[in-house]
Amino acid sequence: MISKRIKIFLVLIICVTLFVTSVWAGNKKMMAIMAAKNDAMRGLTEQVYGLKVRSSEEVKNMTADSYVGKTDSKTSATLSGIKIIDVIYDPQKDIARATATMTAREIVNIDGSNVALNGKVFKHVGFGTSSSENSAPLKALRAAQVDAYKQMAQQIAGFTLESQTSVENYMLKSDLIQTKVQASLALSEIVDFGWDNSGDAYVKMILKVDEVAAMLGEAVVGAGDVVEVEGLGAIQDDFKKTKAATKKP
Amino acid sequence: MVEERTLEMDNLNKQMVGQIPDLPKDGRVDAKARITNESGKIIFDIYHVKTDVKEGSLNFGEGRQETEIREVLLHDSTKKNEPSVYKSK
Repeated sequence: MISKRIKIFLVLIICVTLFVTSVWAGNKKMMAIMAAKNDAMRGLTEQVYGLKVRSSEEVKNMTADSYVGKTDSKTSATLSGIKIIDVIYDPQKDIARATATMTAREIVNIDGSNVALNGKVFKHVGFGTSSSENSAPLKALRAAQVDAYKQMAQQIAGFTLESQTSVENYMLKSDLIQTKVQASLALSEIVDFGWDNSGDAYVKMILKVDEVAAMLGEAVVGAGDVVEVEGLGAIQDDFKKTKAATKKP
Repeated sequence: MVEERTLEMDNLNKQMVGQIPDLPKDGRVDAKARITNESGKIIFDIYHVKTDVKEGSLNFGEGRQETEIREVLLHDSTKKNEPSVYKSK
């Protein structure tokens, strides 16, 4: 009698364990896919509607560990007609990939300008994961994307440079350098992205000045027919320990 | 990549400061510029320059002691109505 009860109890435990595990695995997959879809839609919104970029950099006495760079990006729009295609989930890495795509005749962009998209198809690939342990390459990719936006804004809109420089026997020594940029950016396209062997990410972004000018119906100041930048994102902060040690009294 | 960016910023700064006329032999230069890219050419619109020269010896004639003074020369283009503009060639 007792052994029967134990057997039933054990079977129950096994059933519950299996059920919970399967539910958890399904949840992980769905959460990773949802994150990838959201990332793809955000990228598409930034591309089509546009985004605001604000960035500042500072370096003291030419020491790399004193470098502080901060870039914020912001976008908010209501876009209809976004389709999600090519959803792939890697259960080993718990990373999902999704592509957002849309086409439209005309939209009002972040600056309130009417943009004639003329049925052009826009695409953006996004990634997502359910666990923070696997997010490092995705964070590096986003950092590379934001770096590319910053560089694009610097090239298109220009930036300010402020510095304090020492002169000794006509030789220049940079004591403090600061750069600042703030701009709205739209219609820049990611043409390539990936990770190198060390895990650092890169994003190649272009802006076809003539095409954008035609869409906006006005001249656009730029650096040629196609502005091309490559944003970089590190998988780890090599200066984290140095900065932490410097902060300690 | 941080080291590369640090060098890029140093390069840009030296290009900008190098365009300021009458740089002192020794001293400090505070400068601000708007940097734009026109057809692949970097344009520096320098709108603020402040230069200080730390010290100088002036002789006021025979029989007088040589006096060492601390002098600060200010060339602050923001105080003028028209900002100074230097363009790279």
